[in-house]
Amino acid sequence: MPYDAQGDITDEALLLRYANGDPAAPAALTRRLTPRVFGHAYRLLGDRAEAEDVTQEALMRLWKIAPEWRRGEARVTTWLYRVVANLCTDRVRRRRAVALEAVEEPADDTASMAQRLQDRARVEALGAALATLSARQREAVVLRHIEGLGNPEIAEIMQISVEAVESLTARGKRALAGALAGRREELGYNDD
Amino acid sequence: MTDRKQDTHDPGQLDELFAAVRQDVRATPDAALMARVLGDAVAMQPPPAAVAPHRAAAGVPGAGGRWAQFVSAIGGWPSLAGLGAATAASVLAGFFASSALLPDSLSTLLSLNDDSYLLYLDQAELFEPEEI
Repeated sequence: MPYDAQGDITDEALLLRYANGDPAAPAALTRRLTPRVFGHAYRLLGDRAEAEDVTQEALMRLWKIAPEWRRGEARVTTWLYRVVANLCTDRVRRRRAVALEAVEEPADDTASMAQRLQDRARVEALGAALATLSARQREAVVLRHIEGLGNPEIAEIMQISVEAVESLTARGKRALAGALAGRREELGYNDD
Repeated sequence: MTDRKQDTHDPGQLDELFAAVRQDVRATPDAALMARVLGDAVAMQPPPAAVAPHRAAAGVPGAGGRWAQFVSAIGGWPSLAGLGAATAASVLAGFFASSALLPDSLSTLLSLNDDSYLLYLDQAELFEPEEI
């Protein structure tokens, strides 16, 4: 049975097996880490093509550092979130604006067309609102409210105190609310 | 605080938006990206042999270090086996050597008594070249 199907092996143990030449480790790590890395990069950048580049680059750095990985120093995902944030920051600086491109969405037979359109509108609206935040606020809000991480881990990723994380997420949420304030009806929140 | 003036949103609505973003299929990697990442992982994975220096550093015999260098220097394990067989044969020859295995002249010399030995030396002197 593949490692990732069992779920009883930590990311770090799997990475050590990768470094020791275990032939099953590359596929297991790819299946386990790529969705998380790509999802985070996409939410920070709002662009699939750029998120794909960041994902490939971040994971290449992980493969490269695997033989020198220091056991117990940091969680693999913590290290990856940090690398992704740095790569995304570099890209945002270069292009100066976040583009939220519309990408063809796979068909979903379980949801009605109206519901799908509304969900999509909400995702687009939040993406646009996230783009108005500062890079640090956006990173903190995405890690806390979308990736679902705890404040101590976010503090480790962003290399700031837990109190600073709380402040960033609180101010970020207020800024999001302000950016979305005029779109309540458009997003279907006036339906009773 | 100026921030508090903006804090008029419904937290539940924002949470709904976060949930919608979490389920956004566009944040899911496609098969092409998975294949590229896997290709990188396979290409950059250290081969199993690359861990040998770590074992050698830990003093595990057979994985590296001076012993491995010695075995390699003499031509590998077949040569080492040959060397061992030759050594064993030499030891056995030493233990079980008998007069039957020695050349005749040496065997005769070893079996002589003291008088015969002195006579042998006297005869040998007859054949010494004269001093110039």
